[in-house]
Amino acid sequence: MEGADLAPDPEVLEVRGLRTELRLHNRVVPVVNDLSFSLRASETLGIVGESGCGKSMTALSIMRLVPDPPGRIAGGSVRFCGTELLDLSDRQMRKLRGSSISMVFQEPMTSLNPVRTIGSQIVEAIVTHRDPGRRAAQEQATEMLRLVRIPDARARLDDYPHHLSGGMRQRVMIAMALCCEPRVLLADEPTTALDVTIQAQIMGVIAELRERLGTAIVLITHDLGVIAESCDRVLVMYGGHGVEEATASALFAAPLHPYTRGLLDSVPRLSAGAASASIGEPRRRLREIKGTVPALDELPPGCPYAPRCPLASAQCHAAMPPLIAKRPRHLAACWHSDRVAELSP
Amino acid sequence: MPVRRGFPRARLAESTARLLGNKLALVGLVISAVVVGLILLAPILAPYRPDAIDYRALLQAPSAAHPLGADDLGRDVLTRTLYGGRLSLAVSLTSVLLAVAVGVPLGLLAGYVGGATDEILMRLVDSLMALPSLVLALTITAVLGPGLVNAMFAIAVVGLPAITRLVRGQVLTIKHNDYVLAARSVGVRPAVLVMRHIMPNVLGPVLVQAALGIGFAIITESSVSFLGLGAQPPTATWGSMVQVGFQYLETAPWIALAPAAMIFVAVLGFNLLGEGLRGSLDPTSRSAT
Amino acid sequence: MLNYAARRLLGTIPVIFLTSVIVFGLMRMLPGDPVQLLVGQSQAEVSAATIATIRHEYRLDEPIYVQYLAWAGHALSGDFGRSLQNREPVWQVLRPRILPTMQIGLTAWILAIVVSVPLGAITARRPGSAADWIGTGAALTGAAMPYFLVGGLLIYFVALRWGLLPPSGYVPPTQGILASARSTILPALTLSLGLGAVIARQSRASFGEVLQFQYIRSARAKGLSETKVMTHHAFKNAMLPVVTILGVQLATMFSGAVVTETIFAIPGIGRLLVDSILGRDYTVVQAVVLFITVLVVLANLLVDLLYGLLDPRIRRA
Repeated sequence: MEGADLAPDPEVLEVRGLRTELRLHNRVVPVVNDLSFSLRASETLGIVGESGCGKSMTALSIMRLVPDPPGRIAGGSVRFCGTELLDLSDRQMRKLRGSSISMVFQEPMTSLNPVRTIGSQIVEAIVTHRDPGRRAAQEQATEMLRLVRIPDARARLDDYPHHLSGGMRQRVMIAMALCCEPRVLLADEPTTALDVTIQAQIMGVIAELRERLGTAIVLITHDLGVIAESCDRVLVMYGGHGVEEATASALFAAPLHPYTRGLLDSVPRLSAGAASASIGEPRRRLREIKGTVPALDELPPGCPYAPRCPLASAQCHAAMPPLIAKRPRHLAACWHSDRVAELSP
Repeated sequence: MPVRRGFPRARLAESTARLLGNKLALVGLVISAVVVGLILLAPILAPYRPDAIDYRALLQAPSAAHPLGADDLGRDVLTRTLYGGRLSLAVSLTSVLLAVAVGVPLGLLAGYVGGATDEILMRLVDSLMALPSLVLALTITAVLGPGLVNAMFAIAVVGLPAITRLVRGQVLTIKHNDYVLAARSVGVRPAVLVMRHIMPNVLGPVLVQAALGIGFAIITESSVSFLGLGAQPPTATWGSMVQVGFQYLETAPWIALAPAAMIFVAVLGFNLLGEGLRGSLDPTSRSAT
Repeated sequence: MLNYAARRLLGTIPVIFLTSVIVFGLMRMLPGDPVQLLVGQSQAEVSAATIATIRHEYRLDEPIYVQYLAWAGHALSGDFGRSLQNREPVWQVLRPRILPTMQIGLTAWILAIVVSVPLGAITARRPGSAADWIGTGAALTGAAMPYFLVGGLLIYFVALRWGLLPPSGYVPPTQGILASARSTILPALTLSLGLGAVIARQSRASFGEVLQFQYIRSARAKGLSETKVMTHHAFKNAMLPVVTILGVQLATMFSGAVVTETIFAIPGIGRLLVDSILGRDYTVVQAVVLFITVLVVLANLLVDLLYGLLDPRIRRA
């Protein structure tokens, strides 16, 4: 019997119609607007988009860490292994945080408490959810540090954050997030603040741990290179909406949304220039998407990308296209997905 | 060529708008205005003359005839509180003005000139600030001799270092701003530079400090007078009235409580105003609104 | 660290020196001939020769800088001269006054901290909420209340009307801990209001700042309860700025003690200052002011060093 679509891995995270808003200057601004996606066990989903598109807020919403005031989850559903997170009490949610769902943040320099040792902070994560003795907790902490490949792990426990470099601190953050073996890890731009060489190491650490622990990962980034290397599936966000979702390979090969196309085109490519250039041929100008990202409180009706979109029509300005499957397992929110292929460089 | 005024119109309008939107400042403004208004209208509002002695009303409790009671000489407490306020407020305002008038130039000097002048001035300021405020005020008043005018000078001296340091700090920050460097590179003379470019930006925090300083001055003056070193009889400020009133605390508490309460209200008003001003002039500071 | 401490210690010397000069100079400016004052207190007839002897004894016939050096020299060894009022060594006059002031001051300070630090933390948690308005309002009100208003109200109601506590007077702990406590509660409460208002402000500001930091978000992401977040992560960091104002607090305490001790008839340093100023006893005034100043300067120094201990980032520097 054929099993092309064998029962897929169970969904650990299912987000449906998530809406999160911010109350600013007496106005309500939707920062996550009717977002839907799902995540399977052992899968890595990348969420990509420019600053201000709502990716971080999505992660915070899932963790229910949206700062309130001024933020608020206005509606929708977030199911973790079948449990509706938005219905849980604070206490129940707290039990999940750090143990079943973990998050790693962008700024390793400031995400660790400067006046407490590394060891105490990792141990804290452990004892909040498990109950080993102090000695055992320290052993586990040391083990986690080794897993993230921090040299001389035992001694590092007594160090303070400012003794470590940015890359090391990020590893500590990862160790802290994974010490209770969560099912889901939300990584909000984990490598953005780090050097490119360190980036690769960190992504390597994450990949290794994923292999070991089978954690599902949501990787938030604006770096398409990272997406290409590490993600199984990708969700593209713009203006608080999800505009395209597909496997990484499908997305890069044949995007179905003009914004994705624009993003891909704007990545500088050494090979393209080198391949086509010969002596005397002019170098190609970097392609950019015209216009700027809209402020979330000034979104026009209809598709948020319409003002900048080369394919925009009257329909685009009038109505927001739904995020639906244009091909198997490839969703896009565009009235003119069929014409995106025309936008070749 | 006349020196241009510190606040350009647009900035003033904007500041005022922010001020009115700042609830704290508004409450403070209202309270202070009420207090000042009451005091200024004392001659109209007061039912009696402040020194009208009435032997039939000695230590009389609050009644229809004397809404806040009468003191040990039968004088109306309400009247005396209103009139006492005039002196208290006048002394406080004057001492703050003095502190600003001397402190701002000193701070500008220290900040702009720098070097040895700055070092010496700041050491002096540090020494003055090392002494607790009331202790210093009492000591200076003792040196100059008891009396309200001397107390006023003493309070001015106590408030001086804070203003000087504040202004100096501001100058140090502003000194390195591009527009100052630009002006200097064009050859603008230091005096003009300071007056036209640096000082207007210093005025904001100074205003805040001044508002808070009025509250501080009121409390200090009343404390000095309370201890017998400020207003001498027959001069009456709130502080000296409290002093007298304390002798009769058990039998006629209103004599002390009325002026003490007025001090509290006045200081609260000016403090709120100062805090509110700080909030609206410095958008990065966090306040309750 | 030791280097840092040594440097700070050296830095306080010029300040103390300058302050002593200022104090000394101020005292010399007091109107009235101190010898006449002194002589005027006693009943006996005094001859010109006696006056000259007294003047010489107090070195008043020498140039002022010599007087200063002599005074400073003696002061360093603890000899502050003799009181003009009762000819006792100043130190003898000053010493017994230290305990009451410190006892009340310490009690007031502890009271202030215990109430104000959590108050600041609570108001910082939810800016703009009802709790914030109430807490901030209370702090601002406390800051505006003059000591004699608070003290007066406390004396009138608690002591006079309800007779719960003595309205004045001081009982040292040696004469009974309970009695001593009863005599110091009201003055300590009065003093604590002024101290507490400043601490609450500072606490709110620093908690407010700390709670914005990313590591607080990390702590929450680990699944810690809000209480744990506040106590284990926010507290230590928020305390740093509060510690820095300790020196200022000591100065405030002395200023407050002056009025409070007068109201409650406590035989402390504050009262001594007032009495000696009123009595033109300038040797005592000199000594008291210098004593207070040295304490404040040392407190500031201690605070700086403590700060270095609390913040591991500074320790390294």
